[in-house]
Amino acid sequence: MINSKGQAALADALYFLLIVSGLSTFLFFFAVSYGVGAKERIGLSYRSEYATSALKTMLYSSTPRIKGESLEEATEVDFLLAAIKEDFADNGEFDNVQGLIVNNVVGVMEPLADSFNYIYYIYLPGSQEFVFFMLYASKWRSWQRLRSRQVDVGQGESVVYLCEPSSLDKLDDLITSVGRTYQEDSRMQLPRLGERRGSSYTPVPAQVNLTMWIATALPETEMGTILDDSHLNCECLKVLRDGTWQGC
Amino acid sequence: MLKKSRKGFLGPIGDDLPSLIPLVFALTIFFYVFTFTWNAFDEKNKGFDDDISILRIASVIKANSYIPNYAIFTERCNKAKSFKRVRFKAGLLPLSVKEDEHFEGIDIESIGFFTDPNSGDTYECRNSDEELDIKNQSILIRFFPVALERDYRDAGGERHFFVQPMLLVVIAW
Repeated sequence: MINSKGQAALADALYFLLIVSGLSTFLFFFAVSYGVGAKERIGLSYRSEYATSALKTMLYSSTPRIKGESLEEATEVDFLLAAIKEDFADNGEFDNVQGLIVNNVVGVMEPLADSFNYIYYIYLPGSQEFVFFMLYASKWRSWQRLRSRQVDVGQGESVVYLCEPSSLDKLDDLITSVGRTYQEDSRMQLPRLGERRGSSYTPVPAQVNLTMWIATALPETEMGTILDDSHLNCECLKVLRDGTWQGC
Repeated sequence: MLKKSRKGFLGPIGDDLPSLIPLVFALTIFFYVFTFTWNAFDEKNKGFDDDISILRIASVIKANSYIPNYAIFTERCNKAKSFKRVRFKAGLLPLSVKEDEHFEGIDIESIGFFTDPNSGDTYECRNSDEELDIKNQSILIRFFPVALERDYRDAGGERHFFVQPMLLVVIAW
């Protein structure tokens, strides 16, 4: 009986150890996982806020009326949005402002462009067509196998594509395969001249969208790359190579 | 007989000595993990509070992403200074929308915020005169594009304005 007392105390202690170990494991996993969701939410909020600010800044910005002049010394300036509307008004297409929009979008997104890719488009929900669509994508040139993973070892390039997807659902393959996206939409009205009797212009509802994601390789599809006619129908506009924009 | 069976018996405490080893071990583990959890919890919460503070500061200064003039910028800056939780400095850097010019990046050690060449106003806002020490302090940086309205005079001396894209940079420590 006397010896059994010691064994009981030892068994109790071992049970206590077991319970405390379980509790400690729970506490440890709680400590490690605590705040992961909150951190993600804060990051999401920051990037979404960036997209919102970028879209507003692009639409507020001014542009010189005469090509080649700087804003500070321009003979005449106008809002970029006014130039967009003016260019659209005559034939429902952008003939002169594409370069302005591209430079503006690329300039505003430049602080994030090393690590983010994005699309910027103006879509007409009424006629279900895109009047402007640009894609900024990182392109990797050289890959090497390192510790069983493919690693980019070359100096990257960034490419601006102008695209003409035939419909909104052509974006699905891109959006669903680039991971988490951060996007902002804005609505506006583009004027169209001479389509309604008794009115100088017809307002055309349009949707402006900026969607960005952490830079990744563009997805391959069964039909080819996402840039093909069957998807976004893109043409290369310019390439950022060694810090300088060059033709494709 | 009783005496014989008590050979080596150290008394009630001695009987419990072996059980004290797992008990002490368990308590050590528990308090170690408890302290670790408490510190991690506290540190992460502080990080979240700092993150939220810097976003609030940026939100106050940029407002609707449009800065009409220096007076409004100063007004927003004074509001942002009410955030005492973190020390911060914030300001505007020019963004280029020309193909042959690039954003020069953010050098937090020697950052020089935008000064309007016409008025001489520097778009900088800070709630502390203390300089940040990047080696010994944890630093948070957030930046957002904003549109800044600027004045200019043409050759005839007439006053005009234009809106330039800028980058609002907030550095907190």
